[in-house]
Amino acid sequence: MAAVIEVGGLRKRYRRLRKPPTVALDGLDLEVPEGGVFGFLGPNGAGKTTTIRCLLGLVSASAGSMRLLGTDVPTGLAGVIRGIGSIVEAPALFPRFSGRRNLEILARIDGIGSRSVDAALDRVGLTARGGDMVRTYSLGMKQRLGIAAALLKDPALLILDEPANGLDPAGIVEVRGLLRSLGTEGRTVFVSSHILSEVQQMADRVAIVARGRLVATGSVHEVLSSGRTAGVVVRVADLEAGRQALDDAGISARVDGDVLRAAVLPTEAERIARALAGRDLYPSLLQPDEGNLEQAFLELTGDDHEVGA
Amino acid sequence: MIRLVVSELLRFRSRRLVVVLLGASLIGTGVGLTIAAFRSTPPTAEALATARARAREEVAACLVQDWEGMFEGPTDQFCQDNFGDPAQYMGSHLKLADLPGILESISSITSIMGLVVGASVVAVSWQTGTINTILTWEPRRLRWFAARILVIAAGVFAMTLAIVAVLSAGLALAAATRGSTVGTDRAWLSDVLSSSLRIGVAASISAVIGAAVAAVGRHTAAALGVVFVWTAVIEGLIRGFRPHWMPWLLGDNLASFLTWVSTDVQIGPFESYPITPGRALFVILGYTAVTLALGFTFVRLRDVH
Repeated sequence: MAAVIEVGGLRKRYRRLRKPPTVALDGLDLEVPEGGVFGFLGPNGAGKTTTIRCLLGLVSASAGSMRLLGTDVPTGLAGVIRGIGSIVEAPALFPRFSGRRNLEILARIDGIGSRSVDAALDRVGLTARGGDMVRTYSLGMKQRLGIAAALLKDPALLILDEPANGLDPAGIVEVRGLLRSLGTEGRTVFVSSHILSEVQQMADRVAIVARGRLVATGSVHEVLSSGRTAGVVVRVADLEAGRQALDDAGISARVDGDVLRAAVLPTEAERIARALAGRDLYPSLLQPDEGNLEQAFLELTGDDHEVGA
Repeated sequence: MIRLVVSELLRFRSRRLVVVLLGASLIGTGVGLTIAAFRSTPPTAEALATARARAREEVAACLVQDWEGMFEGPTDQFCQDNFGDPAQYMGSHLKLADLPGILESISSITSIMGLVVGASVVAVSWQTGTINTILTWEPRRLRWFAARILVIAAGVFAMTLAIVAVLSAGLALAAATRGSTVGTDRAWLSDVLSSSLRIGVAASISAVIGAAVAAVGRHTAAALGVVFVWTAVIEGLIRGFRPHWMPWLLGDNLASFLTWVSTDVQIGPFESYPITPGRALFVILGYTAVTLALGFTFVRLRDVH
């Protein structure tokens, strides 16, 4: 699978007057394969937006290399920008123009016709409100209009910075569904977010950054297990008796709320079942201990987090 | 590039400030002309005949004077030019012949309008964050800025000409009904056209300077402040403390360019320096080039947040 985004040793230092420079990116390495939804996670200030700004040529990198769709950027950015749709932070739109006019003005730059504008509005469910001024739109509608603007070029790569920011639960579900469907069309959707539950539900692969560095990357499953020891979750009626039975069988386990967490690979589940059955304990739950992305995130980023779940 | 210019043109045309300023200028022109028309006493045929007779008398009196060494060229031409216009001997009423002078007098307003529009149209992209969107569609920043500058210059020129056209048409109508159209010959028309062109160019140049300064500071008020401080304060101080630099000041050169006559600036107690209109244009273009170079440099190099 070819990489659509390749970042190597990316550094960005912001000089400040009479203060030490701020290091936003500290040798970030990243590779985003083609197709699907890629979640780019990190606490606030981890360097997600700076990475996106560097990729899109808005901010110049202090060091490192970047490639988008196989082309070096920023030098070759003009050549590949036609294939990239993006939103950086909040979509910046003219409030006094209609949604349609906002899109038409952008479309003119690339000579995109009104049919594509209609299709983009339709895609994000704004056809009926396309003629209304943007200032009358809800936050969710503005966000969807921003996505429509990003879709105008029918891009192979979508780079979206916190697209669910400020949305209500219904809006989040809406945007999530839209991004998932875009990811299944063969496009690559690169989504930065600090809302972990969101990303877990829609991303095929993720990367976690902290303090300007990559701390984990891979499929969601790989990242979930990278920050912790793999295990098995067991629920039995008598937790203490169950823990003792496993201990006697040479399986280390601990009581965690209403379950036991056994520190063995999920392939050892049969051994666990036998040990419990030998003491007349029958598990009502026996499954791999995957935890969730939030747990993995907290473990991987240490103290540097300020996350939304 | 053409697509980019068209897109920028749409943005320019849709800016509220552009619409409001143009609307206010046109309404102000209409109101001013209406008041002037009501206050004007229409010249009667009798008054006109008297004025013509007076003009003939004044020219005759001029011709018998001894003008030796006072001016170059034929005396009859001098007398006709200075005393032969009957309009100057008629009472207070609207004179279409005054149009070139009126146009020159509104040039400061149109230049300020150009400055405000130019600064605002550039700075607003940073103030609202739309620069992020624009540059993710056209990452070649210099190309984008060139397109915007071009649109600003052309847009402000068109706005100025629209104001001039309305003012001229309104004055022509008012003068025809409540004033005088005497003295509106071919030379007058040529004056009107060249004045219109000059105030259009001056407004465009002001807009470009405003836009370039705004590209450095990324803020409308800051850009206007810088231009104001330069023209009103720093140039004022230079006039006071370094008078021999005066031939290079923007304000003095702009004045010479707008009136299209050579003006002498006092650069020392007994020394003056002539600023010819051509030289003035050259200096003004120099200022424009320097501010544009600064604007392009900042647009190209500074990060966008």
